[in-house]
Amino acid sequence: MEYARWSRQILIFENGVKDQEKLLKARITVVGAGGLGSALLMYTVAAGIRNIQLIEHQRVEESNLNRQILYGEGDINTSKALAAKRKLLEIDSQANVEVVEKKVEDSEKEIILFDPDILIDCSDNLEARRFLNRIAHIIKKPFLYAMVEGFSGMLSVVYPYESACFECAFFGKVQKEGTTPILGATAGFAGALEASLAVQIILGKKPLFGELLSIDLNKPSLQTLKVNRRKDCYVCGEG
Amino acid sequence: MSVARVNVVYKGNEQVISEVRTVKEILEKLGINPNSVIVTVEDELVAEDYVLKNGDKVKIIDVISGG
Ligand SMILES: [Zn+2]
Repeated sequence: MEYARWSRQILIFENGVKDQEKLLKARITVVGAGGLGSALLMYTVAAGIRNIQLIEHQRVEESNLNRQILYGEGDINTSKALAAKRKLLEIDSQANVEVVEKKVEDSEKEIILFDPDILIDCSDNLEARRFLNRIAHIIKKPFLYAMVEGFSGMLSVVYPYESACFECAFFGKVQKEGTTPILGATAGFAGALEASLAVQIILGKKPLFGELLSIDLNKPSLQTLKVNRRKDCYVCGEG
Repeated sequence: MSVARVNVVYKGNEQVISEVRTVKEILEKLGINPNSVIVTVEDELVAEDYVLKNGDKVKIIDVISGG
């Protein structure tokens, strides 16, 4: 194996090349190749995470281009998943990108079969996150989620049955109607942060355990909020 | 349950709200739909029935869901 490509990051890993090998063997399921997904996917593939299941069923639209930097003008009206895969293979031709062109709610079988080490949410709605939170508790693998709007973001990791789950924090919450305003850099910042967390999780760390990171890029500021497990949670509780 | 006087930050504005017992009452006073926000007290996420103490630092954060 030629490691020159990752030599600068191997320098920061506690176990050097061994840690790089963990990344090369890791499997991640990524839901959504939009604003969050663009940054997350490019940074994870560049870091040597080569086994990726990508769930995305939309086509590229012109209004995506302010933030979805996986795509260019030539990709408009084509499949996002396939355009994303092309771009990722340009970064690393040995990446294995399994494309699932379905809504996430219809992809349970594929996710379980793929058997990821982490479920990574880059979706654009609460229902997808509720679904992924439940799947994470079935397969008992960490679930990394991020949500963005305007200059704001929220980000956390769920360690099933150990730390607060998505519903412990967001049960009953509803999504705003209409088009979400967003600066591309906000999605990119949160997506890059997800990539950094994914690397740490694969290397055996437990970042943001029981914590929700609140991002305000207007100020800018980052704040860590404590989130406790709810005994009555219908996903992770004692119920 | 006695009433409390607390500091509330919402959308970047800080204000003092008095005569409230729970987080739910703060949201009612401000006319905020509880399903559209999360609330922290001293940087810890709390439920609507959380009982407030004098001087609590409360933050109300809009739920966002985009990607
Ligand atoms: Zn829970």
